[in-house]
Amino acid sequence: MNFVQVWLSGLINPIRSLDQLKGKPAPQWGLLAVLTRFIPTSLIVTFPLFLLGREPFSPSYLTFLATSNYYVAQVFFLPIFGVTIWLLMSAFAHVALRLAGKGSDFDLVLNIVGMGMLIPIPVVWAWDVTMIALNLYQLPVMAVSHTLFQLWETSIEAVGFVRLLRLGIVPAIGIALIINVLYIAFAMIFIR
Amino acid sequence: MKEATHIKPHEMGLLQLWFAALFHPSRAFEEFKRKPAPQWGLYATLLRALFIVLIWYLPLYLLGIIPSPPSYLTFVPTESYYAASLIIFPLYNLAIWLVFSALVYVILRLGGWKSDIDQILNIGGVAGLIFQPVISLLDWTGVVLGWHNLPVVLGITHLAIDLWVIVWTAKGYNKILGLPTWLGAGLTLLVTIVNVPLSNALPEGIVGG
Repeated sequence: MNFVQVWLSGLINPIRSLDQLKGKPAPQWGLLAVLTRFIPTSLIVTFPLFLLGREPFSPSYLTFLATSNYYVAQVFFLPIFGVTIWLLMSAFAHVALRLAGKGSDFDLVLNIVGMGMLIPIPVVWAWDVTMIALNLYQLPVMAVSHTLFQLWETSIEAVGFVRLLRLGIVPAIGIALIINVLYIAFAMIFIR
Repeated sequence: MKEATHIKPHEMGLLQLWFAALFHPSRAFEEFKRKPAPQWGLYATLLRALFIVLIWYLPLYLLGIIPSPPSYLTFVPTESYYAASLIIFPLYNLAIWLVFSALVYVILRLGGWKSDIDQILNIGGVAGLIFQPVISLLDWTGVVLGWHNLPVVLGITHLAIDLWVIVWTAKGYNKILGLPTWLGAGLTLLVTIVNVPLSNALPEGIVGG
């Protein structure tokens, strides 16, 4: 399977998709996955929100970035945020595994986390664009839907840890949950 | 003649290792190679954060000092910045250590060079800890003696120490990972450059008092 096949098959059968990840170029696929998620997201979700003159639901937490300019700035910094958070989540998972005395392969961890971030994203894009088009891109709807998407991503990463790193189900779910809580914490500060 | 294989090589104590790292890095790197990784990197990172909290943020908070540049984070008011830093700084320090180590690792892998994340985590964590007492000593000397143009003087001294850290880390990458010195220096320089705006915008930045 090539990159796109692994990605799209993960939407239907994540176990088979993640099994295919074994032996693929690492961490190259992880990085490619993260860029494939965050660059189009900034172009097809954040940029239209800016063009429509929308303002974020919650005000900016950064004093040097006004809420009114947030979306236009985010078009540029979202991919950088994506790569940074991918590195943080992967490194955290690796160190947690090493401290727990479990075997870890950092290249594989980077690929698992990257593909975990990418696999659900076509559905997220379709959802976000539809909500923007229908003028339903509003706080309660988006908060609930994106929490569900995050849980989906968490479960894919947990599957990856089980299938590729041979972790038990409980530690795999635990680590996947922790790194996704990290993601949410940083996204709440920097992403609108 | 029978070899004395039962004799263990002399292991340095923490203080010996610290002095060796500052003044005889090659000897220290031989010792670091044998230390558990990434555990030593983590302990060093936590110890550095504790050191900075105790020697910088806690005294400033207890003295009721308010930073002169305002907080860049709306949820951390400038008046309580040093109090918040007691908690935020260790977390920030940990996150920076993980991100920069992973960044170095990924760049090396993409470039086709030899890479070992555990050793990179150890080198990065230990580098932060080793130089911190020197930096803190200079910072407090400046504050206590009331040096004229303190931010400028501290900027220059920090820059000089940053260069020392770059050379030291490059040597570490060379001795432990076998990387060319120019590559280690380039990577550390890159991380330092990325870190400057980040640490100015986030907790480490507001140190002026």
